[in-house]
Formats: sequence, structure tokens, C-alpha cells
Amino acid sequence: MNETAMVARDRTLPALRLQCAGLYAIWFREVKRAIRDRGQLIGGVSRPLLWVLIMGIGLNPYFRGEVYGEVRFVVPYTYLQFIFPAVIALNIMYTSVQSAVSVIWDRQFGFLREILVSPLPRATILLGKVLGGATVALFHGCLVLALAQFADLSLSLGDVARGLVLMALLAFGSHHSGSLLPAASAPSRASACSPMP
Amino acid sequence: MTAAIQVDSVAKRYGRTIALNDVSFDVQSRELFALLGPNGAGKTTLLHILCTVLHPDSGTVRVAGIDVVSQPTRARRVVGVVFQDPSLDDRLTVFENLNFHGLVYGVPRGLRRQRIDALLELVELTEWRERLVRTLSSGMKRRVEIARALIHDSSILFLDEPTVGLDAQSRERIWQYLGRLRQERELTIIVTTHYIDEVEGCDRVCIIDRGRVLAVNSPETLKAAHGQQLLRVLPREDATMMEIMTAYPDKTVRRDGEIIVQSGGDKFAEAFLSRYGGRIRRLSVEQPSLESVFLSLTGRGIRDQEAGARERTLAFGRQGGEHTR
Repeated sequence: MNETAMVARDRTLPALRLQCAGLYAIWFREVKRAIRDRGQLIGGVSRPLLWVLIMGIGLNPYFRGEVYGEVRFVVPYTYLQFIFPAVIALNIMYTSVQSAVSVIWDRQFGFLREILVSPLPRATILLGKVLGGATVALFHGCLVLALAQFADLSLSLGDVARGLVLMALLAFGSHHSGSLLPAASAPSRASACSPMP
Repeated sequence: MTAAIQVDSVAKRYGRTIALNDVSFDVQSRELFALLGPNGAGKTTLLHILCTVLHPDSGTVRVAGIDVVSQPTRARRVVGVVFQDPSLDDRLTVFENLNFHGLVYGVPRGLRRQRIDALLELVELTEWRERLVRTLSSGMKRRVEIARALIHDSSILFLDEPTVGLDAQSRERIWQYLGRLRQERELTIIVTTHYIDEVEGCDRVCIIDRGRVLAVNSPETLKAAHGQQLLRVLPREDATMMEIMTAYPDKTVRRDGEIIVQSGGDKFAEAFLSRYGGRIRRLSVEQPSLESVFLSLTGRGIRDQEAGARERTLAFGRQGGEHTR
């Protein structure tokens, strides 16, 4: 070990590959943690079940353009179809913010410091964190999308692809804004690991 | 020999509190260097500056010849850090934690695996490789952290209170590993501690208190220069204790129901005995040790502190106080 270590003292990856390796490590950690977190997964499944199957189907008959028994206007959707995109967005946003807030826990439990003393630039750390959280959020969005048939939605492949792109954008964006929360919170402890450029 | 670390008149303040005040010292390459001081002396702040987590307000710090303020990324590549509080991800396994570190530091895959295996063997955790970190004891976690700090083949290792909160056996083992590491590779180790008995084996000791460096030298030299005989006195009654404390106000420290008196030598001890001899239950004479060096330099013992906000939050988290964890 000793000799090989001495010889290989300068055998590190070139700069760009180092960035990619670091990005991959941070992304993979986020995903792995999410898979192991049973509570988050249960939340991700139960929220759409509650909204689509119970509330959605339950409230469907009351969602008509009728006032005092008289039909005034015709709504082109069922209630379930109406709320379906919102449930997807809800699930994505909730998961994104939850994983953005995990930065606070990384800091509180010390792991953030391990990342901060690594040679990765801060931007790469943030990007890895956001991509990881967004991947998990996108997956939780897909959990809802899988319930589309219960909402009487017939989606073509193109629709699904377009939806996925929008969902990914939403996940990325909401994770980013969620990441501002840890930055804004608890400045008193920030001194312990305030990031240097 | 070249200096592995050069600290030159570094100062740091948090608001009104001065954490470090004009701190300067050098650490030679391959040296085992200890920073000794009570809680709140500025040890951790100094270490955070050395490992580029904090900026100094003034002064320069060079690690392996690299300025940590102007080139933090380069400096981070040559140092390995073991922080005071555990910084492992406890939802990942031991291997995943080590692998994460290797990836982030850009260690190529084959070399990474090889080093992880070798280092796990060194800290005797090979069979714990695939276990989740949360199932490990705190001594094992500390050992994983030491292994992790060496995966990118760092030439300088910083350890911030590596043995705090561990039982005597685990403490002993950690020092064994450190000794073995120093034999095997070119490694400069900087360790902070407030356990005086641990620094006896170090090459040089830097005594630091209230943000100032009081002395930097080898334990033997320090003992010869500042050490003095100590009398450990257990009086029969509290009244006698008060009497002794008021008779030698600047030479006595109270600890665990005993009084530690700084003795000027045998003459002092004799005079002390003839005066209080009949009212003392127990007295022991201690020859110059680093503890007496510390006492004579700072005028007090290494003090304790109540749990800070961070420890309380951690305890809350361990009880399962937060669902995201």
C-alpha cells in the first residue's frame, strides 16, 4: 500500500473529470439516501393516493357547472382531471423542498463540512445536491403520473415526454428555491462552516 | 526539514470575541504536533482556518507551502481532516462513505478500492465494510473518519479532538493507529486535545489558551522549563479547604473535592505540611508533568463547559426528534 501510494501521489483525475466524479458522488448520495428513507417514499405514495383516489374520486360528482340544480355552464373536465396536474406539482414540490432542507441536516450533523473541505467548487456541490433532489422529486412526480388511468386521462407518448420535461424543470426550479431556505436560516451557526469561495 | 505548516500572526474574531490573537508557529514535516488547550481556547478555530473552512481576519497560513486563503482548493487536496463532531453520512455504509470521499477527491476507481481495503484493514474494520454507519459505535465511527481522511493520500492529517467522548480502550487504539500510520507513510499529524496525558507522546506541543500561544516545544523541554511539583491535597474539613485556598489564592486550584497546590519545591512542601499536616486526610506529591506546565502557564486547570446548542440539537436528533433524519 505504502509504495503504491507514494508513486500515485499525483495520480488524480483531470479537472473536468474530477468535477464530474464529484457531481456524480453527490447526486448518487442524494438518490441513495432517498431510496433508503422509507418515510419519504411512503409520503410520496400516500399523498397522490389521498388526493387522486380518495379526494379526487370522492369530489368528482360535485364538480359540475351547476348552481341551485340549474346547469349554467359546461366544464370540459372532470374534477379529477382538473386537479391531476396540481397533484403532480404538489408531490414534486414537496419532495424538492424536503430534500433541499436536508442541507440543514447535513450541516447540523457535520456531513456538509466533509463536502466543504473537499476540493470541489461550491457551485458543483450545489448543482450535485439540486440534481440529486430533483431526480428524486421527478420520480415522485412519476408515481402520480402512473395513476393517470384512474383520472380518465389518455396520454400519448408525446404527452408523457412533454410532461416529464416540464416536471423536471419544476423539480429543478423548486429545489433551487428550496435551497435558499438553509442559506437564509440559522446564520448564528453559519460561522462554523460558512463556505469560503 | 521543510515546514509542513506555517502559521504567521493569525487573528480571528467572532463579533466581539477574540478567538485567535496573533498566533504563530511552524510544524515540521513528519511531525506529530499537538495543540493543547481548554475548551474555547481557539483550537478548533485554528484548525478550521488550517483546513480552509474559515478565513483568518489577518495573518498568513501556508499548508505544504500553499496559501490557504488564495488557493484553498489546492490546499484541500493535500490535507485530510477529522472533525470534532462526526461528519459521516450515517445512512450510507462504511464503504459508501469512503467511496464518496474518494470520488469527491478524484481518486481513480482502481486505486480507490485498493486504498479503501488497505485503510479499513489498518483500522480493523474490514468486516464492517457493508454495514450502515448508524450501526457503528462512536469509536468505530472515529476510526472510519481517520481512514477516510487518508483515502486521497493526504500528506497532512488534522485531527480535532479525535478521542473526545471515547472510552479509554478506544482512545488507546486510535493513538496506536496514528503511530502505525506515521511509520508507514510520510505523514504530518496535527492533533488538538484537552487530555493532557495524550500529548506526552507527541513530538511537540503548542499550549494555547484564550486565543494566544503560550508555549511551543517538546513535552520534555516544557516540563523542564515550566513544570513544577504539585501537591494534591484532600483536607479533612471544608473549613481547612477554604483556609488553604485563601492562604495561597494564586497557587491553588480546586478539582473533584481536592485542592491542587503549586509547590515551589520541597521547602514549600515541608512548610505546608507543618502548617496543615494534622488537618489533611490525604496528600500526594506529583512530579513535574504537562498538567503542571499547563497550570503554571495559564494559572488554572483545563476547564469544562456545559453542552452547547449544537450538542443539544444532536441529542434531540438522536432521539428521533426530526422526521427528515
